[in-house]
Amino acid sequence: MIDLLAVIAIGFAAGMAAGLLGIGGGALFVPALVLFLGLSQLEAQATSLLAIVPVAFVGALRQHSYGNLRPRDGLVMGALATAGAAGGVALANALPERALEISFAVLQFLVAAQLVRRAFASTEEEQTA
Amino acid sequence: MVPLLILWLGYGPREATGTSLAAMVIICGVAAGLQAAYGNVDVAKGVLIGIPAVGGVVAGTALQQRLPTRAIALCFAGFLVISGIALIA
Repeated sequence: MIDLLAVIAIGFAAGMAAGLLGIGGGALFVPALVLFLGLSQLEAQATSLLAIVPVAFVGALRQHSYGNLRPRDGLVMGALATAGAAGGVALANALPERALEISFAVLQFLVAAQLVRRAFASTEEEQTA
Repeated sequence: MVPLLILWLGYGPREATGTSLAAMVIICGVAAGLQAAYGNVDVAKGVLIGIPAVGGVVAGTALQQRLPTRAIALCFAGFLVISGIALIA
């Protein structure tokens, strides 16, 4: 029963993160499916993809109603990313896993720094405008 | 996708998150279909965690409309740093 409540709470939190940040929620789905529902890592990752579909769909619909969606861009990105995934899988299999982890983390830090810089720069522009 | 839309294409944070979610429907839909073909998807457990998440995404998008755009961008930056640390730890 506690496991079930934990899954519901984590599912809700993952949905909140998806709505706030535009991410799928898989970062929370996967550990919850492994730890509380007894799936293997591979099964959890696969099942997480299924759970993301309705979350992303409802989130996109809500954002559309708020006027925050560019449907054509979303479709193009989705189609390109789906095609690009095949190349990404091949590359990921050719590189050592640790190299992938470190290079991805470094990329995340650089992008985060850019976002912070941009966020403060845009505020300064608004204040001086 | 969200940071690329903001940094490269000049999207606002709300537009970036909304459009990213739309793209994710296609990407995850295709990927889930492929994983299902390999027999790796547990539909019942996916539904169990997905239903509360749908409630969460409705609440999250509503909350997001009340936040300043800078706060959304900074939250996303924080998310990237934490998940980056988790990746290399």
